[in-house]
Amino acid sequence: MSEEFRNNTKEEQPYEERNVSHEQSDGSSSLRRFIDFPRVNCLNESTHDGCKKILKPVDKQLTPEPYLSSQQDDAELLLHIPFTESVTIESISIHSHSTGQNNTFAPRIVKLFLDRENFGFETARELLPAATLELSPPREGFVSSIIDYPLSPAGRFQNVSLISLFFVSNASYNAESRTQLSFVGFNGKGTHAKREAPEWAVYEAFAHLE
Amino acid sequence: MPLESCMILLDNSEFMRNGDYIPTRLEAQHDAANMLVGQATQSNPETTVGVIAMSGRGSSVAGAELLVSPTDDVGKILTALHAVPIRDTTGVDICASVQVASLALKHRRNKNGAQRVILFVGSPLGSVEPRALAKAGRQLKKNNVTIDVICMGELEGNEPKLRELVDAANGASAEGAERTCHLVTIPAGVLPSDVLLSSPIVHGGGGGGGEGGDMAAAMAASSAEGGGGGGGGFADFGGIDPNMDPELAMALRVSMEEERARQERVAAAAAASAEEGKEEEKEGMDDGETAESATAAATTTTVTENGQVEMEVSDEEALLQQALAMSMNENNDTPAEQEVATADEEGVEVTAGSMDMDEDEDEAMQMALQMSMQPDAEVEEQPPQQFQDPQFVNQLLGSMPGVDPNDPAIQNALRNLNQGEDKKDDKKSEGKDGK
Repeated sequence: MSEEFRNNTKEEQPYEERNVSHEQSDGSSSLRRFIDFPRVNCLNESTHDGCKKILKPVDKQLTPEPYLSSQQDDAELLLHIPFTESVTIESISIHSHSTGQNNTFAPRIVKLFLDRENFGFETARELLPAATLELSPPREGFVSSIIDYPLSPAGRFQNVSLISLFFVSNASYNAESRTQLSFVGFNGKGTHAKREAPEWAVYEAFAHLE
Repeated sequence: MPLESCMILLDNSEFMRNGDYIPTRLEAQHDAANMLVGQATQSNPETTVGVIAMSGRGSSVAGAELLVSPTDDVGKILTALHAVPIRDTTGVDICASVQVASLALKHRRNKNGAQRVILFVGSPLGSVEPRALAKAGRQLKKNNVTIDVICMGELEGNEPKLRELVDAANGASAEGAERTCHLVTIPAGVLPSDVLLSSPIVHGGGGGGGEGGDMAAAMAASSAEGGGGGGGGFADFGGIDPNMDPELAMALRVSMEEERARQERVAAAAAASAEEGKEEEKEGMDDGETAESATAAATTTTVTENGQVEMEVSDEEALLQQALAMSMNENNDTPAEQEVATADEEGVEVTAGSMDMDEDEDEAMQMALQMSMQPDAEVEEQPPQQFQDPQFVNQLLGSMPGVDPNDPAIQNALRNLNQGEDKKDDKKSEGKDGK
C-alpha cells in the first residue's frame, strides 16, 4: 500500500472524504498534541497499551501496524482518551484494515461519551451517548485516504476534556468476533483552557474587606 | 501496592469448620484476611477494601452477601470480618460471587485506582465447570479487574479449576501489565498469613500466576525474591520504588545529582590547585595525604599503615579536596572504603540516601559516582604533570584563543601553582622523616 499516492477524486459518499492534511480548510487541525497519552486506557484490549499506539500522527495514519484489537471472541472495546486541555472536536477519523480474516473485523457502531471518567462496559451500555457513529466498512484494495466523520451537534463537542469511544459492534454483526482498528484521530481546535482543580488555594478564616 | 479498591471474598460454608488449619479453616482465613486488609491500607491510605461473604443468607443455594462496601475505615472492615458466621450451604458459587464483587467495585467512590478481588476458597468446587470459571475470568479481564485466589483445603479437586480461572483472568499474554493475577495454594497445617506475606499477592509482583508449591522452600525463596526483586530494579532512584513513593524517589535522585554536580565543581576548583592530584598519582596515598594536610590549614590527618584515612573535620573545603584526591587516586580501592569516606565527608543528604539503600544498591551507586568522577579525574591527570613545566604552560595558554599569557591574573595563578608545588615538596619530605 503506497502512501505517496494520494487520490484526489471525490466520490459520492454519505460522509465527506477528503485529503487529510495537517491543516484543514476550516482551520481545524489534528488534536493529537493535546492528547494526554499516559492516561489513555482501553478496556478489553488484547495487547497492553495497544490503545496508545493507534493514536498515530497524521502522516502515519494509513499504516496497518500497530493496531488495536479486542480480546478473542469479543467485539466490544472501550477506549478512554483524556486531553491535556479543553478542546473542541470537529471531526473524528477511524480507520481499520481488517476485512474479515481470522474472524477479525473492522468496527461498525461507535458510541461517543464526553467528560466521564473511568467507566466500564455496563455503564457504557446503559448511558445515553453524545453521538453514535456508523462507520463505513473498509474498502478492499488500495486505500489512499481515510474518512473523517464530522460530529454534530457541534455545540456538544466544545470544551471537551475526555472522550470515550465505545465500539459496540463490528462489521460481522456477530458479537463473538474480534474487532480491530489501526488508527483513531481527532480534528478540531484547542482552547488553552484546562479543566482541573486549582493547585494553590489560600484559605481565610475571615473575609478581608478593604 | 498503589491505590486500589479491593474486594475480599470469604468462604463461610460448612466446609470451613474443618480443623486441618489451626484452629479452623475459618479462623485461619480470617487471620489471613486481616493481614491483607492491614497490608492494603498501610501501603496507601486511600485504598478501600470491601468484604463479601460467599455463602450469604436468604437462599439454600449459595448467594453472595455484601457485608462491607469498599471503604477505608479499617475498624468497620475488621468488625465485619470477625462477625462472619458459618452458614448452612452446600457450597459456594464462585462465578456469582465474583460478579457481585465486580458490581460492588463498579460503584466504588474513587474511580482512580485499580480494581482487585481476593478470593478465598475452602470448599470443594465439585459442581462448578471449568468453562464457567474461565468465562468469569475473561469477564474480569475485560473489566480490568485483577483477581488473586487463595486455595485452602480440598486442594486436589480445586486447584486445576482455580488455575483455569486465574489463567483466564490473566489473559493470553501476561506481559506488559504491571499486576497480574495469582493463585496461592496453602497446604494443610500451614498458617495462611505467613505464606501470603511472602507471596506475590502482597508484593504485587508480576510474572504470571505464582504458585504456593513447596512451602518450606518457597517461603524462603519467594521472600528473598520478593525483597530483592522489589528493591533491585530501582538503584538509580536510591532503592525506593518510584511508583510507591514518587516524592521520596525524586528527592533522593535530586540530592544524588546535586552531589554529583558539587563533586564536579570541586574537581574544577581542585584542578587549579592541582598539586594534590599530581602528587598522589606519583607518590601514593600516604604522601598525598600528608601533602594535603600541609595545604589544608586546619585539618589534622592521621595516616595509618594500610592507607586508611581518619579525619577530623574542621575545614570543609579541605575535606572536599581530600575526598576528591582520594577518589582520583583509589581507582582500585574498594567501594566500601570510598563509601565510608564519602559518607563522612559529604553531608547529610548523601548519608541519608546511603542509609536508605540496600548494600547492593549502595555499592552500585558508589561505583556510579566513582565512574562519573573518573572522567573528571582523567581530565586532571594530564594537566598536573604538564603544568610542572611553566614554559609549556605559557605556550599552552598562548595558543588558546582569548587568553593573554601576560594577563596578571593568569600569571598569579601560575605562580601559586608552582609555589604550592614547592611547599608541598617540603612537607612531603617532612612527612617522610616524621614516619
